[in-house]
Amino acid sequence: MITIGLFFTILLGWMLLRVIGRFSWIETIGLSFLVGLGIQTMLMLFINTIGFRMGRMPVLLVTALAIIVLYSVDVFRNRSRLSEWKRPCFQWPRISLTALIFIGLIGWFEYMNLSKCLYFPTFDRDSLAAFDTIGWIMAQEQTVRGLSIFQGDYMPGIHHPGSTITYSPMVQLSYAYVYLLSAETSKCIPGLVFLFFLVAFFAAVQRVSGTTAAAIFTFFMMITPELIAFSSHSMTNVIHAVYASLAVIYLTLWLRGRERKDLILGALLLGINVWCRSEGIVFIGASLLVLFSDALRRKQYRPFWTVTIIAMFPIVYWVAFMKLFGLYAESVVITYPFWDGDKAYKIWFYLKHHFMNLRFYGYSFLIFVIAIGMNLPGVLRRRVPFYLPLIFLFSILFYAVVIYQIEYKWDRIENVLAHSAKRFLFCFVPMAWYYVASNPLVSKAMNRLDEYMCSRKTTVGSEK
Amino acid sequence: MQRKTKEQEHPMLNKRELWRNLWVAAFVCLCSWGIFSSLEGYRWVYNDLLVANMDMIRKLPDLTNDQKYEIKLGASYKFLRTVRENTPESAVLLYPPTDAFFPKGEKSQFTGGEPNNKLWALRFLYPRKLILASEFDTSPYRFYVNYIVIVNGWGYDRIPPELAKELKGAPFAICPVKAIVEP
Repeated sequence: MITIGLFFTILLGWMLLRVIGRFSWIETIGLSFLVGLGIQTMLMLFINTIGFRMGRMPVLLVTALAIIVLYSVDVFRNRSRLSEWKRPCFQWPRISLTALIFIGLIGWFEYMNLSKCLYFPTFDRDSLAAFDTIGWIMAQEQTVRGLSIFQGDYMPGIHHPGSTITYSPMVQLSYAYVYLLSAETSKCIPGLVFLFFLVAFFAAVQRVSGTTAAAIFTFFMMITPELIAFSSHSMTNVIHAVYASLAVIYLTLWLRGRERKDLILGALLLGINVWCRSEGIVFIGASLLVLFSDALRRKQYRPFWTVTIIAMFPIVYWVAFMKLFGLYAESVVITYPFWDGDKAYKIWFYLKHHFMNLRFYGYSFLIFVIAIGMNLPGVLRRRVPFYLPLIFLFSILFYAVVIYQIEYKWDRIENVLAHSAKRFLFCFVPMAWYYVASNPLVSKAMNRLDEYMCSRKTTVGSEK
Repeated sequence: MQRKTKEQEHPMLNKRELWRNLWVAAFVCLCSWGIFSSLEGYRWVYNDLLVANMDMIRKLPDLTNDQKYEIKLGASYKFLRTVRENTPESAVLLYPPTDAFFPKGEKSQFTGGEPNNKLWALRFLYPRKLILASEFDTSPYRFYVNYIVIVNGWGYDRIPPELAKELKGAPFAICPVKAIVEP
């Protein structure tokens, strides 16, 4: 049952990607599960919103219906593409020995990581005290509204500040989904998310710097110590980092090539990022700021509004759902401006310490700074775009503001900064490696290297 | 008719390309090895995180989920499993406060988890209902409590004295109760 359910999720994502536009096979494979899971969980909440239980059959039926609708849209809009379904054109890329070695290394490391992830059931504190347990109980009671652990008379602390009741629902719902399908543990979700993410990241880098660069940079991104360590846990941080970083990468790809599919996909991933963790709002803010400045410069506002609407939809839906069904917690946000030098210094100190921590993040941020330095002359001459570092910097700034404007009633700010903020930085690791790979010098060099190693023009297994 | 060269017949035998691939691969791998081995974090990923866990998986491939939970959550899981196995699914349990699990200034036997956390414990005890000691006075479920979980002596004052005498010294116990004795 679990295999069928996960296949449905992948198919749902695959169909949606086909409706959005034409992506390469590797991109489609990598993104299918990620996009599918986001939409799947939204459908589950939708079923519950209109009053049905999130039972196994209703969820699978609605998913199947969504797949059929998306397939029909795809067929209707792109009749000419029907031939592709009948006779898929699959082109083997020319691949260098270096790329093969690194793909082998990625496969080997990920095999060990996935084995570890699937072997152990959920044991991390944050997941057992929130996401996994909520998902488990959602699956047992087949509902989100009226969930027994969301009732104040049974859980008196559920409406207290920082309560789990207001957490964005994606991860809990995805765990509920696999529990509905009779899974013993929910660990296949983080395991598969990271696996598909590696493929998607590889495909995104491949678009700008070729296969060899994609293999090398994906390998170095994946072995970032803290990131890979947490990728086999069922906490939300790595799952969030996957969506947030891919969203920013695809928006950057749109700013680079102006292909509509990248814009829509970036917006969708941005929406799922906040559907996964509410602090993902900082990436929406930072991306919209950069997109707005681009819109002002080009006098074209449609892309900006497209991203705004698509990216904000999930969070607006979740807030409306919470209002409708009485899911609330005491606010921890300080809504008025104030100055607390000690608090500001603590935030600065911890963030600086994290970014400079080679043990946690390897060379990710160091090499990112070097790449910015290499690009700076081009940026100053306005020849090299600076979108990704801008989104990166604005996101950190907004995150710092969010931390600053929170009243820490449930925990100490030091704890939040030492643990939550440390894990929040996972979002920036793939962005940093992507930026390094897409650096014009690196990109040019790696493309040349690919040409040098695979100079022959013949393509193996291609269909004309 | 011009005869095909060996390379044209067998594309993989293009020697020039092969040599180029070999030296670039050797160079890139050497540099990457340098980067990889220069940082303790990367070495930790390979040796301690991946290989060590893989060794354990190979040595113990047939463990049940219960045994894996025991490895990771220790006595906390054993305690919750005992509670689960000795109470019906419809049970309403009066559950001890944090101090009972983790007495101040003493080493607790509950290693590897947070059995004092209601949500954490519910992952293993659901659909049983847990009423924390601190919630007892106001909880509408207090009238339905039919089991009391005794931990490190906490709860003796809520069960009949003769039963408390019998249980004295036990690290934890689960007592069915007809009616809670007001302390």
